[in-house]
Amino acid sequence: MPKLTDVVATERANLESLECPTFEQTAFEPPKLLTECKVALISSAGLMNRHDDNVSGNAAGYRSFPNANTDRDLLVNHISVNFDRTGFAADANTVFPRERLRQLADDGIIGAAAKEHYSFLGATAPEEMKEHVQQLVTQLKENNVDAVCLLPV
Amino acid sequence: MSVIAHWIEQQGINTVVIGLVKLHLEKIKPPRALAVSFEFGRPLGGPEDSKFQLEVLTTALGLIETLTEPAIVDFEKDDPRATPDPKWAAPKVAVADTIANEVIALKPFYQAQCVNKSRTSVGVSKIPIAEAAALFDSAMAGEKLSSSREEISPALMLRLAIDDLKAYYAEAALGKGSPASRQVHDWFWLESLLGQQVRELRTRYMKSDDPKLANLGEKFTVPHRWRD
Repeated sequence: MPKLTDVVATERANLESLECPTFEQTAFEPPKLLTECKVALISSAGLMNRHDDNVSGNAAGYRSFPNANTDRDLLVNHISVNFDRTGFAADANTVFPRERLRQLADDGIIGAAAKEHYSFLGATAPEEMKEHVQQLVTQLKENNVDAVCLLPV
Repeated sequence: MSVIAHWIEQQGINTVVIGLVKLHLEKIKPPRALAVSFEFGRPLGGPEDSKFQLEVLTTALGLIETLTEPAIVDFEKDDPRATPDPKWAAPKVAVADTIANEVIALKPFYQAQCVNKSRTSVGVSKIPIAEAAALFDSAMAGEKLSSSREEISPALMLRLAIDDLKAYYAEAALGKGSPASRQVHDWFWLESLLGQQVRELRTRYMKSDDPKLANLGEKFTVPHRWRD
């Protein structure tokens, strides 16, 4: 978390009072060798491609972004104004590190980068996303994805 | 994202969250998490620092290989790009009387950054930046809002236009050095005409009888830090 001294009181109060879902049990898959893992990324930044429709303010679904694409037409369409976007403006890897993941694959640190990566709109209530996450899991399995790195903004 | 991690892991796929809010990680308890101390919007730390980004990403993914039970692990380093760049200077432009004119004055800086990066993060409104500036000037003048896109309400059109203007100004500011985000934000919210007018518009809209404008003003224009 950003240092508390860097977060203004109203924002800190919001963070502290946010109701978070809890789980009685935490599912946990056994460890896997990274060199044998195909890895996908999931962002909460409400990403869109320049030529696609806007992400609606209450979107529960996800969008897919090919691993091979450049960041040229990648945009942040999140409704929140309470996170920095200058990092993304300078370098999309700050938010959605496709290029870094490709480097890890090229260097043999991971088995492979998945052919698609994904983005949700993090402001949407998680319960509304649940059926879409199920669809996403089906897609991840079809693409033989072994591991997922989730990157909230 | 931590909730999604639970659901994905329940289906047999290993997950790791790079979390910016440790408090939330501790409440939701995802299967694996790397807690980082970076600014919101920067889960991998600062831009244009591939070495540091790789270190964060490799550390997070490494938890898939090393953890044998659920855990939240702290990433011990701060983002080196959070330190202000003393060489950075804000774009020097003549004082403008409208956002349309300020946008024109900033254009050389913005264009240089676009050429340098071969990309732009401006585009969510899908209208030219001059039109976005004109729309904002119209709102500041108290004129009735309009939208040139049938599927988008006037209030939403204004929000998207403001998002694009902010992105345009950020890119105009990024060309000279490697500023910390706080340097760019200070310039934008305290010195640029747009930053000052967005704050003014927020205050005005929060008093509006139109619930859409009141909501836009209150929540979707000015970050907490810069609210009056």
